Amino acid sequence: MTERIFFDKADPTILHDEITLIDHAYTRPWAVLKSYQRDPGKYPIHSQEDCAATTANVLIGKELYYLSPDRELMPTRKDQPPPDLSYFKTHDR
Amino acid sequence: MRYRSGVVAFGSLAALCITLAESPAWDETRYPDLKGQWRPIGDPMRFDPSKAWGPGQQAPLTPEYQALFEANLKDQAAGGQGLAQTNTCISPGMPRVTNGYGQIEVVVTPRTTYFMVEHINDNRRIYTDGRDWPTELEPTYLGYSIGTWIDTDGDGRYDLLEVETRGFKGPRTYDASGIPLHEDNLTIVRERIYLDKSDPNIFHDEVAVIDHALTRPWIVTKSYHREPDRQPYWREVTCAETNNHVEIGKQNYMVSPDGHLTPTRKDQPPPDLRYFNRSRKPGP
Repeated sequence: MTERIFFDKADPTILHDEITLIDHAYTRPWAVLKSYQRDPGKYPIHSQEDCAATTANVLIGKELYYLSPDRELMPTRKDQPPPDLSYFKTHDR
Repeated sequence: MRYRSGVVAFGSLAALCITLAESPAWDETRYPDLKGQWRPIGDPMRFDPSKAWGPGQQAPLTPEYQALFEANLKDQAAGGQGLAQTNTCISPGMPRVTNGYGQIEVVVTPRTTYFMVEHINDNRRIYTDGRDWPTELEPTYLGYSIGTWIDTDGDGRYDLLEVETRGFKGPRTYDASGIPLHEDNLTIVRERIYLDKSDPNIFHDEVAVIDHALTRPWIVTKSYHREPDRQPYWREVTCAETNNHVEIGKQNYMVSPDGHLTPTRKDQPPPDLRYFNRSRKPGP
């Protein structure tokens, strides 16, 4: 992946990033131009995103489950089997 | 049309001039050289690196929080996580991030100094642009940090960064032993950060924690050394990629190497499977 990052010549509040991806999954290099706008606020808010604190996805082995609002395990698709509980002494709950 | 272009050009030039006028003159030589990769001196698993782990830290906890801490130690001894909940990859938050458990990079810019810790969502942003505390703060694990660079000896160079951090959410602990901060999250952390006077490859962070779970401020000095390689290797750490802890209900389980849910303590009940069609066979 190569990038050319530069300010817009006419507007210093805009930043451009020319991204070129070279990958064996592509028939040719894939070039994309992305642009970013500077927040006009003097003291912009940088919020802290903490995915782990809010995620309800649970991966057990190769199966993805979901946590209900009461934090119990739920299937993510119809007829999804529950996780194997053979490592527990009692697994008849 | 030419007239309009002139207006646009004048407008752009004016905007550029305003931007330049607002930018403080940046003179890198006025700031201490904090480039490179920093690692802690001493054990990063302890809040106070000069004292032993857990009870040996002698945290000045109130009786209520001392009891919580001791119950947490019993839970950890039984296989639980106690109060130290970073097993789920949530940010350790402040002041635990000062323990220096990851590779640290310090980036000084005119308006902000960054302490970047390659671990779990723990890059700190310290505003040094003269701002005041916002009227409303969105609580975060790392809090909101305002700092001031100070030239203590009047030689024209800044040699001390004073920082105050507020605006927290929890739960947070001081280290992996689970020493807790108060659940009201009204913690204030004050720091004095400076290079060692005799060794420019060491910096110190005097951390003072004011918290309602403490009987007095807890003050600890931490030190960090600079890796000698000026182009060091920065390891990418993605906590969720390798984490085998799973929180279901109020229980912490682990996923075994063969992908099965396993208990973390003796006689731990399995998760409640009420939401599943019980006629289905368990998954792999």
